[in-house]
Amino acid sequence: MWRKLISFIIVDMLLVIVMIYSAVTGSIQLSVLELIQGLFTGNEQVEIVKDLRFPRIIIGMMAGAALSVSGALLQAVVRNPLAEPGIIGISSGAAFFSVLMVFLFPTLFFYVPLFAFIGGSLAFLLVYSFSWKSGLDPLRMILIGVAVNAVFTGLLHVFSFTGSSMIAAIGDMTMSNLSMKKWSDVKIIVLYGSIGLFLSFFVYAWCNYLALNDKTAKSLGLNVNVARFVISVIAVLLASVATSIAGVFAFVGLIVPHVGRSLIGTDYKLLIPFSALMGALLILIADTLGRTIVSPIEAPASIIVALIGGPFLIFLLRKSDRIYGS
Amino acid sequence: MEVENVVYSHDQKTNHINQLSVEIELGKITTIIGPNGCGKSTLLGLLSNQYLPQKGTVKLRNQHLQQYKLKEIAKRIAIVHQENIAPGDLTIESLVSYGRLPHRTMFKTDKEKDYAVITWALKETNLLELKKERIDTLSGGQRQRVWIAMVLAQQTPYLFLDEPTTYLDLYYQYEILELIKHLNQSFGLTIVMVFHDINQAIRYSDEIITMKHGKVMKKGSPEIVITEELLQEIYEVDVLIKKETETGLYMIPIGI
Repeated sequence: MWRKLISFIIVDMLLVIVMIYSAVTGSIQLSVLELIQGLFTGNEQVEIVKDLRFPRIIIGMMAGAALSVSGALLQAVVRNPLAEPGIIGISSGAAFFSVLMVFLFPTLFFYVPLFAFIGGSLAFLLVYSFSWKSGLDPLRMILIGVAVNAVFTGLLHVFSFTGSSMIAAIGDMTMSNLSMKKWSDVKIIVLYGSIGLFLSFFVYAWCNYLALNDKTAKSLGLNVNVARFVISVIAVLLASVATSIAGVFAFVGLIVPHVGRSLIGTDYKLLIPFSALMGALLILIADTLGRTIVSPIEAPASIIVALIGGPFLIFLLRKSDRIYGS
Repeated sequence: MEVENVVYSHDQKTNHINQLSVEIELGKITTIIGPNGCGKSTLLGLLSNQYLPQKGTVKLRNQHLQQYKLKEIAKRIAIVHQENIAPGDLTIESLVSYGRLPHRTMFKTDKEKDYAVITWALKETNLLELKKERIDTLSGGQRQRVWIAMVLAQQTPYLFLDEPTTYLDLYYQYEILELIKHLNQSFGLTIVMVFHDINQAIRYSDEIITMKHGKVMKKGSPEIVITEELLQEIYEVDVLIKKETETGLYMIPIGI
């Protein structure tokens, strides 16, 4: 019990500290006091920070929260600790569809998350239906996901190589790039992202029941198919929204719920909010490091996530041989 | 419950249940026995709405089982499956509380009632002191009692168990069997079990259903059903059946 509470408090505190650090650090250096004063009185430097740094801080945090919760939900749906929106192709499907739609209908920019959602759903549907016959066998499902991911990533690269100016405008979606984000982007990700996160808090009990056998869940009176469908829709929504604004982040949806389980347990009532907080923290740290460590060069946040995430996951797996399950 | 002329196939090729009719009597312990692949577990699955019959009907209180909502069935029929998984860090108490699912709705939960029922289920299965323990610290016998406690929390008149003693050693086998008997006698639960051990079936059942090739061979009290001829026919094993005052009826296989 204490361990859980302390984990929550530490993540919350770190989040606030990194948020402030991120806001005051970079090419324009401010003190915390200057920042706070500037917010109330108006100050040229603070205005620049507000326009350039605040959006990427908020977007990074929202994307991290959305991807982590999405990963946690998908892992419940397929009862497989390896399920993750990046690995099984949801992110690349979403990215490809956003690029395609912006290419075809450039004026519909505000609806990009919607197209991303269609793309993400398509990818998940493919993975799900191809692995259905094998009874959603974990290994098979991941392999099919890898294949679906490869195809959508390939299609995405095809578009990048054609070098259309439209594509250049929305950036290379295979890698996340949080620089040059505007308040209009913030609006989109906060709107759709919070809907997804809000909905995810209602399905925690279903996620818990799905950890039992399907047979057992059904004989307890749970409509397993309906529960799976609803949770999947929320997970795909979250991943698609995050991808359409922040680009593809591999790994976040895998590592954050994993760390979450080892710190606060498998109960989704806690795991969902904890994953959201920790995911936000992870991408915020990655982005802040990426733009400060070798400044003025900016390393994309997704690369830093991979660099931190990989070794950390190995460390975690070495420490405990429990993965997830009974 | 009544099963009438049910046909069911897992693969649309061979009928795993073939024109089967049988009645489950209220308040009794009924055991289904038969060789591997005879359809015992399938029959249990049909009775508990895990499988839908392709032909024929399964009725609960003179109403088709399919006409009930899932939650309504879960308030009447509880089943302990053979294979069970749960996250290892779940406490016994939390897992048992899952049994209250059919009595909950999205907006309405009777917390006091839930707590009382969960406590009752834990007490009957002798797990009350262990309720804060994690599932992964338990022995096989304790774990099986936890699953029984969970389905007891559903508060159903029917309790089904699919090979409840299979992975347990002798002591835990009899512990589970005594528990089942106690639940039947103290609370009038109608119990249907699938079993491999014929001697345990004889000792603990009011009614035995013998099956082969998806059909019921014979149904009745152990004394009537268990004969050397019938067991030879079902299992193709030669057996001796004895009856002594200390042991009651028992069976010893002597060869094939």
